[in-house]
Amino acid sequence: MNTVLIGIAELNVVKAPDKISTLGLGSCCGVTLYDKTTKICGMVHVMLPSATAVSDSSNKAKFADSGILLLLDRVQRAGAARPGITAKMAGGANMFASTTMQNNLLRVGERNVQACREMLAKLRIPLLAEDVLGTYGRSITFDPATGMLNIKTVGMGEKSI
Amino acid sequence: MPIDQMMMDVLKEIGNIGTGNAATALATMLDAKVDIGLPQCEMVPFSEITRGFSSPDELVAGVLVQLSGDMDGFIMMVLTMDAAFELLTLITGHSGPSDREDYAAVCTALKPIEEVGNILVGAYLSAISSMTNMFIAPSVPVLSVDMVMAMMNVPAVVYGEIGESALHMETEFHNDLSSITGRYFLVPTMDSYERLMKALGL
Repeated sequence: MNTVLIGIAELNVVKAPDKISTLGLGSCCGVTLYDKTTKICGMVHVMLPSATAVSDSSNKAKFADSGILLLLDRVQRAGAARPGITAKMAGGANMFASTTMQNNLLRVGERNVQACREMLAKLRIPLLAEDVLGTYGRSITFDPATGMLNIKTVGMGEKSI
Repeated sequence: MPIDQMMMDVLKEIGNIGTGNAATALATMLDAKVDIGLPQCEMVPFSEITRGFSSPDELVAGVLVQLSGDMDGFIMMVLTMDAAFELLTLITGHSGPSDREDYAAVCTALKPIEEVGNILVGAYLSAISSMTNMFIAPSVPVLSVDMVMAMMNVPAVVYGEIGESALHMETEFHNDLSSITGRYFLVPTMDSYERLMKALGL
């Protein structure tokens, strides 16, 4: 049993008994797409809300909209059945929240969460659980054998959703 | 606009002058001589942005100062926990809580590091104003103690809009007693880059 690690702006797909993980989600969001019948799960670590708003959108996994779409394609190609696919997500924090000046840059966490929710709704993929926003980093691991997303933090404990 | 060699050279120059100013300011604050290595600047791909740390979830101390005025964006400094505590000892004479596993106590103890963030930002801003006529106002600095990758999301997001790597500067501060390596991200927003280049006549 392996734990496959993905980095920022990356995605991958695993099947039970393997797990999939990403570390240090700050404003980034980690989104999982899971089919419990085939026990296939994909995870993407997105940085920005939308591929359409920027000048360089060649890395699709970087963005919530194109990343989730690409992930859906990948999990289906791995054998997941579309109707059974469900989602979970974590991240979207504002790491320096107590500043006196807030601007769009530092609000990117919220915008990422919004963009992920919108894309999942658009694709009619049920979002079963999420652990988002706040002011702290998260490391997450999804276990396709159980369907649970484990979330570790530095100062806010650990939980599974 | 992509970060080309000319921009990198400009930021390196700002980095050089800024670090020089910072060494002077720190020496004054600490009442001790501070030597400074030349900042190593390079574009680092996001996939390698936490290299040099034991893992992407290694605990670090980050200080962020937001910029506004003729230039928008921020400056972020990242230190390993050991470096942060060394710096704390240099500044306050105290070595922090005995239990470094007590997260709340660590966050409280490291607050004085924000002052170093203030000094470094002041140093970079005076470097910029010595080279241009830009007026830039810094925010109050804020400390975050958390996973290094989560901290690196902050500059990555700005650079992520135009490419796959971020401008990364690493400098070593030392005196007879200790050597502290700090990483800095001087992150103007993309249109601030243009204003900066224009102000420099480039």
